Amino acid sequence: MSSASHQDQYDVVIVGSGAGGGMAAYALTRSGARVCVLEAGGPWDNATDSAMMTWPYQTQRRGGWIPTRHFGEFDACIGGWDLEGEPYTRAPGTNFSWWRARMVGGRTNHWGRISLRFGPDDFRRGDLDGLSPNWPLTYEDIRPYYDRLDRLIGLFGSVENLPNQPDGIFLPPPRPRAYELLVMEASRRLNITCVPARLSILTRPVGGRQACHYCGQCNRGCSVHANFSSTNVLFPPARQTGRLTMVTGAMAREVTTDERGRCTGVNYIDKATGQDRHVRAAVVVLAASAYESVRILLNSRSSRFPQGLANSSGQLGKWLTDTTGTDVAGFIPRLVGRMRYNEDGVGGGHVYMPWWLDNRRLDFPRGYHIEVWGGYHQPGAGFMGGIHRYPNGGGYGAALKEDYRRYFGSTIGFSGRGEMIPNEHSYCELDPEVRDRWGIPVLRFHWRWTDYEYNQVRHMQQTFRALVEAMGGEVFSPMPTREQGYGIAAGGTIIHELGGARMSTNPRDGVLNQWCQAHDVPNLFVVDGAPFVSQADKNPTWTIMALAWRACDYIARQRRARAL
Amino acid sequence: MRQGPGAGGRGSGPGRREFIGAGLAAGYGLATPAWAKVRREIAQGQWAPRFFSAPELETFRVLADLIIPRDDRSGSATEAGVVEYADFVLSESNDRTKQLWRDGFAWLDAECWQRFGARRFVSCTPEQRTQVLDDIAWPRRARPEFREAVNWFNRVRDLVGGGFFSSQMGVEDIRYIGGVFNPRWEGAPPEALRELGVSYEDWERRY
Repeated sequence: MSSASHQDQYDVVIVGSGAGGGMAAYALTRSGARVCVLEAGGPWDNATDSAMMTWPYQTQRRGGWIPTRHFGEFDACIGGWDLEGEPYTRAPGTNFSWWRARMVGGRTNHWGRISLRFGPDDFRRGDLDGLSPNWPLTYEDIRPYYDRLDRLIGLFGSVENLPNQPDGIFLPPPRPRAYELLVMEASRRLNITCVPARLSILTRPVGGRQACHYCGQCNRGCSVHANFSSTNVLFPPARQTGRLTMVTGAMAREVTTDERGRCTGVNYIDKATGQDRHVRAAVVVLAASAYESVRILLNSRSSRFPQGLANSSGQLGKWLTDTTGTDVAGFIPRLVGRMRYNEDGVGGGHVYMPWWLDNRRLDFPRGYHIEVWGGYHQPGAGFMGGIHRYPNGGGYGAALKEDYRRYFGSTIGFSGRGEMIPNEHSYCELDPEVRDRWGIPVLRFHWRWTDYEYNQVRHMQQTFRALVEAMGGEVFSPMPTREQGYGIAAGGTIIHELGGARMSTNPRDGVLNQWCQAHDVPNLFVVDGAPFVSQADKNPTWTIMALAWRACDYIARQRRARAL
Repeated sequence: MRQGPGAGGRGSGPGRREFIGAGLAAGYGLATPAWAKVRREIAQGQWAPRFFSAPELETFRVLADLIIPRDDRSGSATEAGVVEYADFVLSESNDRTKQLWRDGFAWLDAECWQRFGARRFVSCTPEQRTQVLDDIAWPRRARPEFREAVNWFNRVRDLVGGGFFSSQMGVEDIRYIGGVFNPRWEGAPPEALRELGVSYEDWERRY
């Protein structure tokens, strides 16, 4: 990748190249802007760098964990919860872990491609339960951008007309795997809605990208670009405009401002040389991931902005959320010794359960969706670990060897992914002492769940156990207790962190307006997860990109009107 | 973005996180110099362990083939390269994991000395070996005083069994038939559906 020529003045500098940054680069270069993207990690090209189709036995770790790849050495995403030389701290009593990706494409290199739209209710929770504010925009405002995303990127799914689960423009869904039909049957008996998954994986060719070949290895990076990542879909057309400059190994330190309080560009560290560099631009767009963008703004302090840039409201770093999560797996006797077939399918469940109940009748205010996994899968590190929890209870020798064969593919698991309510005890600030390897002050996190989340996760556990039972199965682990938080995953470990620079109608209540534009600084935008006012019972990626695209259309209009 | 334990390739079953939790530390990229060296050593017949001491190596070889023996369908754990795999993985594991393994080997030899006056596990008769393993190989019926040994043996079984079935020999044995380009996904074949008493009828009607 080229490096920036520092005499240059760009129209826009974007920090980050993931879902938000990729979308912004796509939309802004195509609107005619000259764009510089700063990416803290290195380059990545799925066509040449992906481990797709590598067999685990071809490596000494069999695809297992390595420090730069917590989800296994084949996972495309370089990053993790702990990065060397880039610490963060936790206030006493806080259990929160912060995932950072360091590569072109960011976290779009690692995700389940679950591409759900937020629903109309998700934008007006203030009216419905009052536990978090309304968004400064409605579903109707964002819907055209969801439509455009569906057409540009492509996803499969089905039209269901479910309340608050808007349908998209879908490619045909792939048939379920055999065990997923059991799940659908059990769901029907328990009155749980179970429908085709909605994943941005192509079941038909779209925009010159070929359709899926069903190897089930999406997380390794698709070398034929049949699934979505920023690198697969957004950067090639951005590059074609000739207006994109990508600078890798560029760690953003702060946004620079002039005496009028407008942004002038971004100071960053060239990681290869350790030198400070500056990129000048008329507009600054942060898409560094929700909390990295917050960190950059908090670190952009000046006499004019003593609490950090765009923080006159004091709301910067507040109202952090992550999706709630818990998992339950069970052994399903009906699946023992069944016929072998190639069950890989796409890299993810072919069915899922969107939120199906009415919270007014429950002891928790917001919903969750359920992801399904199990069946046959490629043997690698940790294969069938914990086999002593199957009925034969362990052992060794010829009988054990036979157990592996019989029990292979006889497990089904469920993962709940639910909506956390933003609370005042979950926030981040600059640590007064700790700095990273470049001397940049780091974030200190504060995190607390409330009974809203605990009660919801208890409901997940009970539901998943009922599903396993309905299939005639046995759950592997006992119901977690209240003291164990009902098995709730630690904050940050579902990797859906949102908030920190939330949007608001009134500048006193938030950092950004409905265009993701800073209330205080008209040429500053944030287009990652930070603008979110609340979570939803849906994964955030599609909404991050829809908001980013909408913000960039606004930037383009303002530029044409010479207002930026 | 995180999926359940079945992330991406739909995971490796319920034990995967446990394995990750074992905290294998210090690694590099895919083709690390360390791994290239191991492969060269194996190819040249000059392999030497990185983690196991000489006595531990001897014990592990015996244990591995007791856990996954050769049968009429495939070879044994040692024949599938499990020893070299386990040694490499353990050599990259954290100090706590390493200590757990060493303590386990030490316990096994001490137990054989106490029970049979045998110098070590490997110097026991086959019947004596079986007698000790029978006490620690079934967690649900093991006596409480063996709890730590049971936990250790669970790790040994997982690493040997997982190592065997993720080897090329093991993948063929267990008949995993994916990991290939499959341009037409038609779901499960009719026979696989019949077996489970399910069908695509409802699905085809709706979708």
